[in-house]
Amino acid sequence: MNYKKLMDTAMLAGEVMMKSGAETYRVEDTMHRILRSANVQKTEAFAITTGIFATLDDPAIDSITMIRRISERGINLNNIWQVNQISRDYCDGRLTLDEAYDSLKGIRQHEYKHWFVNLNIVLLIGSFALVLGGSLLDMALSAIVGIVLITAMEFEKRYIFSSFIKNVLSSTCIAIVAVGLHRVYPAAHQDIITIAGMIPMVPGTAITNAIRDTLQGDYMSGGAKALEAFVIAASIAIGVAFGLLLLGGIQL
Amino acid sequence: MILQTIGALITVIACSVMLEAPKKTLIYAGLVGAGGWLIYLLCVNAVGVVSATFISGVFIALFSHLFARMFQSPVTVFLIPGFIPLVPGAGMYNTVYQFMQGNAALSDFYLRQTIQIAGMIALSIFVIDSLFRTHSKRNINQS
Repeated sequence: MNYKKLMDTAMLAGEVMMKSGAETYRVEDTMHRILRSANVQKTEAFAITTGIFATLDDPAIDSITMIRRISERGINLNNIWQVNQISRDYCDGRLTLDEAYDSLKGIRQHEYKHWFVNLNIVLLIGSFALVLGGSLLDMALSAIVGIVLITAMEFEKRYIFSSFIKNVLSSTCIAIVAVGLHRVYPAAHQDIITIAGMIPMVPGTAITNAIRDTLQGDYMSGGAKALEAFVIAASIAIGVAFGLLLLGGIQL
Repeated sequence: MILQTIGALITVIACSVMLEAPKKTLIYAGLVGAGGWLIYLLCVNAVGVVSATFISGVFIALFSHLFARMFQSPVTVFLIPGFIPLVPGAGMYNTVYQFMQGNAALSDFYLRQTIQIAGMIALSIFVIDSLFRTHSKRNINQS
């Protein structure tokens, strides 16, 4: 068995999952399953939010240890799903090691086209206005907010690199547009439009993963994710407050 | 109420696309989310916002796990989009808004409510995860 290749496969699987926003214990579990297929004496896999580590050791071979730093993190459920399928197939013997490695390498970065994702953000914001009990007018106005938000996000992607500032700026835009639209259409609900507009930025993933990591005993990752959720929430709050102040949506 | 449930269905599906979920699970994630929101709406008048969040959270987590086992997929694919309608965005907004208006008492109330809702989401995921984990542990021991 090619132990080096096995390590590479496990590390690649872990890296893709971590970058796609999987829970820490799932990353460790997947890496461990792949490594265990070698039937060596000792296999270890360890993952935290910012890096992954793995060791393979047996009296018959030189021990191998690898570390990989994870510096960029996003959310891509499809990648998590694909890595899960590949590791399942490999562990059940439906894929050889080389095939597994190649298919991990070949995982597509994006399942959907860019414009389609943007369209869905508008749809998400519009339909969330309905969820909050808004009228059809609220839905239409929220969709306008969504278009503004997408424009803002495209701009931020090019010129701004701090995610905190990005969130502050986006939510400021949302609040300003929401207050402005409320001035033009007094029948609309300013709060519903603003809340619907924030939804794409709300830290739902961070909250959910924080809970599941903590439950699993990964307090370090759980704590980090909880803090991340808190920081995102704070940045949105600051942005909304700033927007409301700018347009005088409130009286101080 | 029907309009809101349809809204939740579209919300969750659109959110799944935003998070790049696999195509074949989109509609099931939507059903989980819409069902959860319907239960929330049915409960909210009787037991209040916080308890309704818990009940609906239990439903969402339960069905996420069931669907995940059905499709042999990670639970996350259903869980994260499914919980989006419950995430306390409204509480966050109201906290900030009342604070800016100078209503410290109301702002405190909404802040407490936001934290309670987040806690209830956590609790419901905790409960269902633990339930499924004891179950799967037993399976491993048997085999």
